[in-house]
Amino acid sequence: MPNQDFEYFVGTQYAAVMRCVVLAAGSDAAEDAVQEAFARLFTRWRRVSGYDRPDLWVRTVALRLARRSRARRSRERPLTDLDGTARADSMPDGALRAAVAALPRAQRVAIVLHYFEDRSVDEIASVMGCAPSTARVHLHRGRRRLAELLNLEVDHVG
Amino acid sequence: MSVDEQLRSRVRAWGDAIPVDDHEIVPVIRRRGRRRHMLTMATSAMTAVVVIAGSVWAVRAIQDTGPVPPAATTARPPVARLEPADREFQRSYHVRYRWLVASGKTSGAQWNAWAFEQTPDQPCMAVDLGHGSCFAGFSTDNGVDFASGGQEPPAGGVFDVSGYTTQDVYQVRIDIVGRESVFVQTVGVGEWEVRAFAIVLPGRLSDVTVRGVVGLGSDGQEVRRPITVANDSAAVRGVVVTDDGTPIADAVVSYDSSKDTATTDGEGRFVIWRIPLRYECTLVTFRVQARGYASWSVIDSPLYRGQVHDLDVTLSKTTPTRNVVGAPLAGGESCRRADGSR
Repeated sequence: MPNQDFEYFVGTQYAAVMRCVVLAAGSDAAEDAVQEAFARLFTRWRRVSGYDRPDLWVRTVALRLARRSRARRSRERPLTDLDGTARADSMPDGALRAAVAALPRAQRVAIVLHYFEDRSVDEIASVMGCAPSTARVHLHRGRRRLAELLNLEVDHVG
Repeated sequence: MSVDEQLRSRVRAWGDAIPVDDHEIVPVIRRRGRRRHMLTMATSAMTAVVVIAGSVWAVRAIQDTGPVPPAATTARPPVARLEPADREFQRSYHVRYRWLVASGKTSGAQWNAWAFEQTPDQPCMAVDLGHGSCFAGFSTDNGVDFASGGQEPPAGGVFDVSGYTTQDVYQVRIDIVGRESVFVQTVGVGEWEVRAFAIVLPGRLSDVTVRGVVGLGSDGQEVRRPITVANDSAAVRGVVVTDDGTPIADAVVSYDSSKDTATTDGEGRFVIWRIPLRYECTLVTFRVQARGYASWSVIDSPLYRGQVHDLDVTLSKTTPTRNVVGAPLAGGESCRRADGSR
């Protein structure tokens, strides 16, 4: 059996990673990507579990796999519906979903990590594989763009 | 509501509404002699299969559980992650061969003591004292003393005791010997008192006493810190202020040639938790420095083992370096310096 640490990790992280990737990359790519990310994690568990933040590692891999999966599709659907067509009717806040889908990928990932997972800029940078200053720019531009698209009061945008 | 708050609320509501299939980790097949890495997706069962080092495991999502009802946004649990505090705690495992015997008393509520330890043969996390496999300790009801009672110190380490009342949370932490520190972390309002601690090392007993009472005002703020003092050392606490009584922050208090220094907080307070004393009464010279102020020294202050000494300092911007002999600590006639001289 995989060791108990791995099982515990999967049990506590799976749903959160899945939701994060669905929000950032769309449901069509998310399920495969998250499954494969955890499978890869299993093969590397001894090493990755020694990292400071294995939770960030699995998100990085899942988001990268989701991005590659979408890129491989010859006729990529525009990200008009991040939660999947079949489930879209039951999803709340269509305006927000459309606005997030309209963001560039990096800004979308930064927005999801920050607002959905409460990640700090350093953590976002770690997941995205960029400098904290770059992540901060993505986050800033993303929420400014979202505020415009959603007609929110822009005075408070940091 | 700010843009940040609106976005956070809406993104969370959206994310929480996304159904996630239940999942489990299952062994699929076990083979020997094959070492390859393969990933297949069975679309019906959503099963990711990994073959590695002759073993096959799967992370399988079960799709027949139906949609997961969205969680209430107000009660959304935090995202599970490895908290820095946990890691910090794990790092403290490096402190071994320590043992803690504590006694204390609470007033106002029931509380329990917890301890943490790791021994070379018994790695364990938190132990509910008295119930865990890794020893042991004490639990008490309201107002009842608790103590482990002179047990043989094992080759293990307990260095954290926390008290939890039913409503408020207090925490007392004792770090490694040589750098003892006790702090009380409070949430809410109440009173709490630690009466005595003793840290016992294998083959050596060193009594430690907490001096002072932690009184919590009506706003829950701590009004006085407890200080532990080992029998082979003394502690010094005090306040550094200006001529007009204004507290000086970031003033550095040092003694003799030791590298152990204390820095004043925003209210000018400082504590040097442990000053090892060679003699029952040892003469120690303190030096206080702050940027923009003349330095101040008190020469040959007598410190007594097991005592907490008060050392209040007034710094001036105009007066040159001030050296004071003995004062303000009284006594010292039979004391010697650390080098043996009188």
